[in-house]
Amino acid sequence: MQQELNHILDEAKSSILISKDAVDIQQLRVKYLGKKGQLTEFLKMLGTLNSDERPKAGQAINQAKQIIQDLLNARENQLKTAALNTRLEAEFIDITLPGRGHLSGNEHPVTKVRDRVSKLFATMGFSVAEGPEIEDDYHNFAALNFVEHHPAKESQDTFYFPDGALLRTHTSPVQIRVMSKQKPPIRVITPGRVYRRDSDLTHTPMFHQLEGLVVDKHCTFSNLKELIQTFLNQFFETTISLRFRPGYFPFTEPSAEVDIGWKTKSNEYKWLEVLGCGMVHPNVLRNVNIDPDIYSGFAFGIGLDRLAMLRYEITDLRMLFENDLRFLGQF
Amino acid sequence: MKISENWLRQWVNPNLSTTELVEQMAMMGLTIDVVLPVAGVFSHVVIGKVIAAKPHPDAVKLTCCTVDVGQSESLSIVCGAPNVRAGLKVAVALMDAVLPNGVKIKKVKLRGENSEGMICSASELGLQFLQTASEGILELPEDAPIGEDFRTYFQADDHVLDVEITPNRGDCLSARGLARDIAAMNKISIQDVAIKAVCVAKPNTFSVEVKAIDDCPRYIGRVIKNIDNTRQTPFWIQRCLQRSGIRPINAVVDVCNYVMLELGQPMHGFDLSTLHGGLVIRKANPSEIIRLLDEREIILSSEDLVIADQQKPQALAGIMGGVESAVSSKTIDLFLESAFFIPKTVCLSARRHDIHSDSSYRFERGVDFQLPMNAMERATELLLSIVGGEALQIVEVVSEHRLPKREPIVLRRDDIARILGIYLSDHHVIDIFHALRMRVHETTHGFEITPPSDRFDMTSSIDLIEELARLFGYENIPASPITLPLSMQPYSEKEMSLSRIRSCLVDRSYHEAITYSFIDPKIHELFSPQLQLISLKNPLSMDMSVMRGSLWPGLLKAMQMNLHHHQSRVRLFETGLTFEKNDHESQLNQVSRLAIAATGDCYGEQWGMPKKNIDFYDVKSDVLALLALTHRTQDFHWKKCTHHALHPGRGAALYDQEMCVGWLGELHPVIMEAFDFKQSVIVAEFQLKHLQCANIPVFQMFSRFPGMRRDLALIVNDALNARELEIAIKKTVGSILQSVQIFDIYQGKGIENGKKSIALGLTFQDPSRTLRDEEINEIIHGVVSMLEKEFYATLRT
Repeated sequence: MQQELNHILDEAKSSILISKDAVDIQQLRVKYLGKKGQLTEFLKMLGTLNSDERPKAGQAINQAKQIIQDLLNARENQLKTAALNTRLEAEFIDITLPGRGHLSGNEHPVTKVRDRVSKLFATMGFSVAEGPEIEDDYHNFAALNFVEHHPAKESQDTFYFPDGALLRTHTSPVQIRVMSKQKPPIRVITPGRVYRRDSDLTHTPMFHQLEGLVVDKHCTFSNLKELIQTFLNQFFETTISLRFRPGYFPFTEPSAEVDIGWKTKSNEYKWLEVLGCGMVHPNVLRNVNIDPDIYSGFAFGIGLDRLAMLRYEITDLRMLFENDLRFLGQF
Repeated sequence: MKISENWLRQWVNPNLSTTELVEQMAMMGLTIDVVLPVAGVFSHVVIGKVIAAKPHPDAVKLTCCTVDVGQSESLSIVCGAPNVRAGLKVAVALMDAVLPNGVKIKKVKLRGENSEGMICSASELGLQFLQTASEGILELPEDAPIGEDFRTYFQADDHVLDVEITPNRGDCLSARGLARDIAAMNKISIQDVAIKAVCVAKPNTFSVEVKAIDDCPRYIGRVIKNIDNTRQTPFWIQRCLQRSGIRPINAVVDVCNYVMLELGQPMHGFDLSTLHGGLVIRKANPSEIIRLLDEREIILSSEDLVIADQQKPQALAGIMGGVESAVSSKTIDLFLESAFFIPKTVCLSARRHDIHSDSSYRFERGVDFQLPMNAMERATELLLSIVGGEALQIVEVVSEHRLPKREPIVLRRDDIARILGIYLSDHHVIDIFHALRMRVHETTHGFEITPPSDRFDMTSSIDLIEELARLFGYENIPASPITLPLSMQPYSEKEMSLSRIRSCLVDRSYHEAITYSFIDPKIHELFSPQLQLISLKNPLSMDMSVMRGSLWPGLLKAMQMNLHHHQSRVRLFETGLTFEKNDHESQLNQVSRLAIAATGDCYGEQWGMPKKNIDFYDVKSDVLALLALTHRTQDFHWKKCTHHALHPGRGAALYDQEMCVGWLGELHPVIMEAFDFKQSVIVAEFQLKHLQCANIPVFQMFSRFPGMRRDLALIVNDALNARELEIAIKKTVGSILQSVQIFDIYQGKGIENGKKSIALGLTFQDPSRTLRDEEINEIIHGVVSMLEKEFYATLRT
């Protein structure tokens, strides 16, 4: 019998070796190990053997069964792996092709700058206030210490409406609105659109301003200088050299124009005017019922468009409002 | 204000280079916009006199000149300028001279004639600020010294400083004014001009009456007889005028202008022979007419201050003289005016008539009211030396108590540090005020300061503090951090930030635009005919003259421009205010809105994706994404709408509960045509307030039991809308209906006209148990019979 078993084993080994796929394996499994398989037949014959031969024969058959089983399993795994490898080899894509779906759009550079400036000031506890763009003379001028029939008011190039209303020439009227409602300490920024009747290479009749206002006891010009320096350093993420020059705004005194030292593309070093600021004029505080003998404050106004141009190296102001996709798509 | 640096340095000459002076002036608040050299770089150019000029024998346009340049032998020079003539004083470039354009002068033969130099034109020498009338070579005054180096004579190394003077510093609108400020900064003194009263024998005979004394509290005049105004104004005066941008005209006018530039006092001369009787300074009679020096004829108002003779106005006070009484070279008897007019009066008149002159510019800002007398003496002295004549005694009308006051201003010592954050010693403070010509009186708590008469900007203690900061130097004030108590700001979750909304749209392939808030009224009419036009009184142009009632016009204009640039896919959004007034009486509303405009391929050209033009539903999904951010989608619903700008069958209004808060739809064909759009455009606009108002989400327990889905394909009337169907099904089924999913809409082959097939997926789920097939079947049965009854729906087979 051992001889017969050996013969079956040899035959099984070579059959398994040449089996090609899962179907072959299954057939071989049936042939040797199935209900009517060759080894199963041997097991059935065990009953015909006498009792002292039986254990030995049984062991031999089971051993042969186990060997075939293992061989089948191993071959099956081998074939599976090979099949998977073949499939994986065939399955490939061009990973350099572009992705599909929505391409992303862009925020306007002025908005980016506005948000950035707002966030920087928010870290110092400033809150944001907004106001109307069609304003009255009181908020845009009178309350801000502009004297009627004075060149300072004329120089604002104001757009007027027939009823005397006007387009705000700065966001300073929001200061008045804030201070009329809120008592010191005040820390607020007021971003928004402003309008002046001026249009050329470096002026658009509409532009964006962000004003800041701090009112408290012990607010000094020295504090203002520090705040502006800190802000510009943080905004440009480098140490910026600054120049505070005496300036004139009716609503602040002392007033300053702030220039930043800037290297132009042609490597020329220039002073560029970026913002105006000053100590809130006592008359302005009086106009909103804040006692200028107790409180003082400072305010600053920044041109957001100018800041965006510097930050993103935009060379033509007017592009900001042309809305050309070739421009908008870059930010 | 433009001024010659050399002239300024005659007044005050700190030990600073031009660049340093410019920097210092900027740091004093006298910003210099530009520094312009008055001449190019050249050498070996001298003053010469054309002794003889005869035509070139061989060339029509050339002249052969003999020129005396102060050397032993005169030069032969061939000149091509039409204005060359014998007797003329000219600038001659000698041999080896190098001109600004790099040309080197050599001895040459021009068509056979020797030329040993070149007679120069102003442009060949790079001369700026010359308002010369003649073309061709430069004509020098008769008194120009022959042989003198032209650079020296012309002061060619000078610069013109263009000083930007802020509206509060009227006192700096003269050489003396600027010099005073520079002197104060450098703690040096100025070289003031010595004003000598001219010795006059004859009393005044010409009457001056000031009726409007409130507007003119001081009027000074003087008659000068028998002048010769054909005499040339000295070159040094002309030079100062020209470098300040003022054209020399005749001696009288030039001297008036010179004194204005020198001392700051605008002056005016009248030709006495043209005046009828004495002068009256009065308010104009309504509808009186005056023809001004610039030939403009204006109709006066009773608010205008005029200098009139017994017949009519001869000058608009402080602004411009009349043409009829103007001084000319033929003038023999002169009446000279030097006055103080109230700034507001001049400002109002100048604005009313839109006339702005060097004179009104100064009066509006305030001219030293103590200056007119000195200015008159200075002008008289200069005039007599140029045009001769005989000056009569000065006539002065003054109302001292109507002149501006200069009273002591109290400055508290503590306020200096409280505002500036620096400590200044009393000594330092007093020094600064003295340098600024202020009178200082020390008190227990500080100082009492009296400003000089030319400082109109010193009225309260903060003005004085500013002067301290300015003279101390802003750059010397240290920066120190502010300390404020920590205070947490409110940050509501119920208010969605605008930046979140913008991000949502940006991530969905929109570009943010910023368009002008004023638009063309014709376009306004197309979009918002129901709104009142809110027009600017003084627009820059017609197409930017009314305030927008919608953001669409701006976005669509931007879209149009991009389409013209061959961008076939344009997706834009903008946030900003619209301006709305329903009728004349109603309140103006400034509403914060968000608008969207999109056209072209939905996703842009991409491989493996069919081209699909954007439609209503594509943009609706973007809008729904915005609404989803609010966590209160249940508050919003859509209604079919009629909006002027939208296609009547393809537009929707968005409601937040009962309030219409915006629109979405396809652009109306009429507007498409107006913008010349060939492909459909989807637009949307919403009130931002409603998109920003958010709910805080509240967790809802979900069912852990499996859901079951049944699909239905129905044939219904075309006009039936999906929402009605959905509401009816939900009502019939009740709470176990989890969702209704529309997964197909079909019209066409196999479906009768006027009908559509709609395929729905209904998902059922119970929170507490697994549903059985039989109960679902029963529910479906009920739904189908309800649909048959309510909507005449049939099942599609």
